[in-house]
Amino acid sequence: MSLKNNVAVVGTGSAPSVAVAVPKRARRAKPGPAFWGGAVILGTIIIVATWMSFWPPYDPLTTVAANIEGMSAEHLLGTDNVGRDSLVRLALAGRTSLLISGAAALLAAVVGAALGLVAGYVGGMVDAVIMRIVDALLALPAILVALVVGVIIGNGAVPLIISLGLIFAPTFARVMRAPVIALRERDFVLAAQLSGVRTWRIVVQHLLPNALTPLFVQFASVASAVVLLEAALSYLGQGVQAPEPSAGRMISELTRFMQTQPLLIIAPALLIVLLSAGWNLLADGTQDYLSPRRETGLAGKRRRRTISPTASSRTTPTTTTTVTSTPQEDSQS
Amino acid sequence: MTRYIIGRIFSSVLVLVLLSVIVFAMVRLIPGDPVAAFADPANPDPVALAKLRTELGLDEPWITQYFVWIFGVLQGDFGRAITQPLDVSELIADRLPVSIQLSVMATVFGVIIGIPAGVLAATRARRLADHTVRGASFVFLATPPFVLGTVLILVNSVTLRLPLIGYVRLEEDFLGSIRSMLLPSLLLGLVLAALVARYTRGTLLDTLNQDFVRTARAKGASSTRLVGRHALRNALIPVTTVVGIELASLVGGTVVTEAVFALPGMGSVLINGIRSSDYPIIQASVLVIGLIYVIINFAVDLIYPLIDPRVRVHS
Amino acid sequence: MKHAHRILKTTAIAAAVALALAACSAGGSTDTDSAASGDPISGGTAIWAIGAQPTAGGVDPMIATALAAQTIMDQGYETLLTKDDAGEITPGLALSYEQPDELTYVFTLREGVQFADGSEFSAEDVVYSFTTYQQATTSKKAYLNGLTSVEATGDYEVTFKFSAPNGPFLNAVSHRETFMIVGSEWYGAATPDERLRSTFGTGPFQVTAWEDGVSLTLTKNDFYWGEETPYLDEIELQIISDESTRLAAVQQGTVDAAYFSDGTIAQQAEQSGFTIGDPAYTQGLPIFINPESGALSDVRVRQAVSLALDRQALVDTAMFGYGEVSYVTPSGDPVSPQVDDNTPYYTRDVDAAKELLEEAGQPNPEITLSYFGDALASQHPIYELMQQQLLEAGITLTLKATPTAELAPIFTAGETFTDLVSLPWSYRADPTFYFDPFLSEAGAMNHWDGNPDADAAKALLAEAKSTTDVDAKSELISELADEVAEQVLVLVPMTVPVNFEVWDSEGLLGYDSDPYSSRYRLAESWVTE
Repeated sequence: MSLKNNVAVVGTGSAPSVAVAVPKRARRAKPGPAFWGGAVILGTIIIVATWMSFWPPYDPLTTVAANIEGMSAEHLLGTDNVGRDSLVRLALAGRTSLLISGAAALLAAVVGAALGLVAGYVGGMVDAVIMRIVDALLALPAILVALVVGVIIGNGAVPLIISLGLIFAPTFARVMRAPVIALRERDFVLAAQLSGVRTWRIVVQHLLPNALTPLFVQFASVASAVVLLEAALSYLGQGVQAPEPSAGRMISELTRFMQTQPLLIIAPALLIVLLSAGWNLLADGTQDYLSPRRETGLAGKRRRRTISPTASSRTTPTTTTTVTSTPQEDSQS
Repeated sequence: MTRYIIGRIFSSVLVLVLLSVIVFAMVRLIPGDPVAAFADPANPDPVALAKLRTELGLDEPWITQYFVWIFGVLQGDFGRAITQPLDVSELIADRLPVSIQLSVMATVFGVIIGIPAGVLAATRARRLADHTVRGASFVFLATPPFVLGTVLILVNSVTLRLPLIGYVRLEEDFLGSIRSMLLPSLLLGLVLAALVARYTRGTLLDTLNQDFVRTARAKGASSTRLVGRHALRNALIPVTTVVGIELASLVGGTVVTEAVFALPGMGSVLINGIRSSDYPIIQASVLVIGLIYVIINFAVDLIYPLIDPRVRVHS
Repeated sequence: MKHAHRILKTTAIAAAVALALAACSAGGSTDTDSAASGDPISGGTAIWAIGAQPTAGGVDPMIATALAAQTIMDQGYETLLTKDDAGEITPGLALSYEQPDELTYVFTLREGVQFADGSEFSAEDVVYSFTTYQQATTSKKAYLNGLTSVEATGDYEVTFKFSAPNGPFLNAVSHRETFMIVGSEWYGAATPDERLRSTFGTGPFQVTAWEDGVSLTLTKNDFYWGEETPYLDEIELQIISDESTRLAAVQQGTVDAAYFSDGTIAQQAEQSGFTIGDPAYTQGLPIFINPESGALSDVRVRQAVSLALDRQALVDTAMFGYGEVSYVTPSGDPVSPQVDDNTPYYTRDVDAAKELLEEAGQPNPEITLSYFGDALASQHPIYELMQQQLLEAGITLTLKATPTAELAPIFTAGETFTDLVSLPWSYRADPTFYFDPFLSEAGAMNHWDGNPDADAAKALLAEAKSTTDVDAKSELISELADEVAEQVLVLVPMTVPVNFEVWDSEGLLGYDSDPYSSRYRLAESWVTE
């Protein structure tokens, strides 16, 4: 068992030098079904939400009919407890959720990656301090952070994005730090330093691109988690406020009608599932696309497989999904 | 190795200290008033409330309050709750085991469902079993817990009428206690199982594709042996990490599940404390949850050398 | 004349009550067919599901003010007088009272009453209770304005002396949840901790156990002065915070009764065979006004806002009919005046509203409404609908959902608020106390200092507080309510029930709701099987 092979493969970001050497045939030509599945789901929601934002058949904030009506020709998803059209509100809730999850994940990525880059590159005391702060932030309950940010900045979408971004920044920091540490000792970095290239340039131009894959994957994963967390926070009364539509709040307000008109909570619940799953599929698909693995597994165990001539002796670079932490940086801290 | 352990202990302590400062400051930044629970909203007596605030030591400068609190904590005394007639340590001693039990049971479910599912998906990659497992994981990972629980409870109340609501204490009735937590921990466990299955599948596939595995197969090693000995061990690494994180976050993060199933756990303590600005409760809860998080992280770090030889090499 | 009339009335009531009680204990009805309507059965446990447990102050009447605590303490502790469902004063621990003059009250106490530990109840305990209330944390002493002395003028006689007429006093001592009587021996000897977690009273059921977040147990008082009551051995209060889960418990039959704050859920419980008690519409939803700045400083703008509201529509649509249009005194309070067509600015008229706005020179005012964002979620649609209704008159209402913790300082530290803030409250012993918070000097929500719009109302309130004559007071309250509506010193969209009580009428018998949400009839209830 060659340990060195393992080192190169598991847990680290894909290094560019290895990527270059991979024969074209090993790389998947197109993104797979997971990617397209996620893209289609999210795309559909975006389209419907945009359509409903500009040309809503009903005003989402106004009573237009009797309350708690079921599906009908005029109201495809019925009306809610105040007589507003459910379909429009749901579409707008989807828009809000999508925006919040995307923006929060983006904020988390920017802040977290910056922290991770600094910690990883500078190392030493700075690294230790930053990572301890990151650990402390990770240990804080999400609801507390959301509440504090909410009362300092006020309630609504923007404070929510900020709190959720802060909550998930630590995971990005960890994701960013690992490959940076692995790479900073490499020749090309030392060479750049010796040539007098500015630090920030090294970081941005040489180190950052190598961590992009886990970053993209992490982005979609985090966005998926944000959808659920936002729903939970709205359910608890902290998130998007009335009368703006929000899937989580819809569920909390309308659970009491579960036995009389279940559609009222099934629809928002499905929306949350679709959004979250959509981001997740996108995450998986992106990962497959950017760092494919041969998923032959152990299929066909009936007959022995000979090593096919297309197999490369160099392992295809992969990245283990590093949503949270990788073993490396914990052992090095 | 000893240096490693000492280093980890040191950084864990540092994290806890940082956490204590952060939460201490945070609760005082929230514009709530801990003595509000004593006020009769239609008949508030600001003079009496001010007196109460002084009695509780809330008028002291923050530094003083912080050190008074910390000295108490170091002696095991978390102080007296403001909005509840209880010692905070009593409160936590009552509620924490419930949350821990829920987390442990959920984790057990997550692991015993997730790892086999992940193995199944990996060994039958790109076939029906794989797609089913992956599809199911996506759905479970994406379902908000509050909907499913309520639906099941309401449906059960008019059909099977099983005892799903409430909690039976572990020391009173061991089996009954496990039974009372069966459904909520299963629901939480399924979400964890989805995550575990994904990681297991991913790393298994990675490992199975490596040269050494192909070599071994070419030499005639059986699949089971391969999966069992080499691949699974590697897969355990990220799985352990994830399980550790989820286990820790479950302890304080199950507010909704606790409300829906009427379980007296830490999540509801925290959220009620936050709503009523009960500083001692919030501070103690966050610190305790943080402590658990740190302990679990530490334990996970200790396990790594056992399953991953590279870590041993590095340290 | 007044005094004799009072004694006569009270004696008559006392006699009536005594007769009624005698009738009860002589043995139930003649129907012996089924236990469902037969003789009360002694023994058994009733299980009642509640939503929240007592918080600060536990079950100590000297400290606790939370509603969750009140409805539990009133089982363990009793008061000097009580009120029947029509609002008439009836005997409690005192059999009768006299008012030799406007400033003096003499209560004749019931003899042979024992606390749940066996100690004797006497005038000493009443004196002890009231002197303790005057120094206690709880602000109930506000009802004792001007009290100069409380003395035991006999083993079973207590005399109260005031320096000035105290209008609310009688109402306060006859409310089951205000001046609970504690024993100088038993309560006096208990530690502060013990008082927080159990009760030391004369009432039919005492709190004997409290498992945090799970349940409270009330045990029968073996020394209770009722002849055969209470019948139940125990009442277990199960804490289930989630309303849907509580509904499931009801449907499954694991509880005998439950509270719900949401009418639609209570209705579903009814559909599964449970009985709903007449809900008491005593949770007022007063929206307090800060006229010191902004559009609302002009009375015409305020009147326009009131005119633009369609209160009945708010009740019907936002609360599914589970509400009542009301003055700031909740319509479910037996002594409250009732809204009618003449109530100023209560009948919707969008055109008139627009005219008023024009007159005031503010055709499109913008106002903010803050409310509890993380609690009472079933009431949020009220505000959402208000927003829509006001928009039709050109008024832009911005909703600001605020965390409970953030709104608290408004009434604990007198912090100001912008424009409007909604702070739901519940039944008050005396109707003047619905006006106090925003009209009296020390009122935490009072922003009318120096504002002439409130002068007439303030004068009426002061008068009402010093009137001890029941009828005169009733008149004054009526006038005051109308004046407040005329000047729009507070906005009241509606009143809702504090909670809906549902119970299994075949499992829990002899029970019915009361307009004070005090569940006092549990003392006469029993369970089958």
